[in-house]
Amino acid sequence: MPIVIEDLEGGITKVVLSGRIDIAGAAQIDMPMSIVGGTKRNVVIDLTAVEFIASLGLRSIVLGGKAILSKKGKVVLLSPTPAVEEVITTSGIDQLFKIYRDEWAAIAAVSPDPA
Amino acid sequence: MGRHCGSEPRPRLSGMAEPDKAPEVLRITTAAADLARLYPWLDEVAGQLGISDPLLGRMHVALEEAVMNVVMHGFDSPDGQEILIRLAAGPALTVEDAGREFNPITAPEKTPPPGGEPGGLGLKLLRHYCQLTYRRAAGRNILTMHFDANPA
Repeated sequence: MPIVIEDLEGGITKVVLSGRIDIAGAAQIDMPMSIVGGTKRNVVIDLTAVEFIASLGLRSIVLGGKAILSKKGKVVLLSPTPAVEEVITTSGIDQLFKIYRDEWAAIAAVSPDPA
Repeated sequence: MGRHCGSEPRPRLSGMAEPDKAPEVLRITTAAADLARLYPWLDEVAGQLGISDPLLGRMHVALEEAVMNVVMHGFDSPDGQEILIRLAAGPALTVEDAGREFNPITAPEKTPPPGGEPGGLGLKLLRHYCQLTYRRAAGRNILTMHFDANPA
């Protein structure tokens, strides 16, 4: 399964994607990303181990991520490879979800605002 | 008429494929299980041309976009429709289908996120990763993707 969902301290969720998010991979992450979108508010999507992604996989990420943003949540992307980052920037997804290289910075970016 | 899942032998490209190598033409259908054959086929035939990453990765992205355009928009009932894919020296990938007419060169790009929906991402990626030529002949879309052999 190319998606693992981890709950971190402070109400933060880390979604770890891995391997090839191709046609088959996109089908595998589609439902979990939809669930994340519907249930989480502070999410880091870790792309470190993603070898390949195209628009079908991005679509799953965008739909889940936009659902989070629509309820005033926060979503960032973490450490895509250069090839994956090229797909992300070409498609404009980085305008929606900022890319971070450092995990702690990514976690800080999605942390809930102080009450 | 054979079944639609086979690969079709074609005249070999000069200086490359031997008789025991994978054919440069792949015949698949729009069925989900069949689409997974795209990637191993491309790996194999591209390997015969000496193609590897990063060019191979760019070809994977573009081929997925082109094929998924056919699957998602080409037919009212997409199940089991045939798609023909051909690799030629250059390298160039040609995707041929009998779906509704669609020219990705002239088709308008949708607004990308955050304002737009993610469904329009494919055209941006296609145009970024390769040069496109398109023609409509005998009721078929024939899209050829020409790749830079030495991408940055």
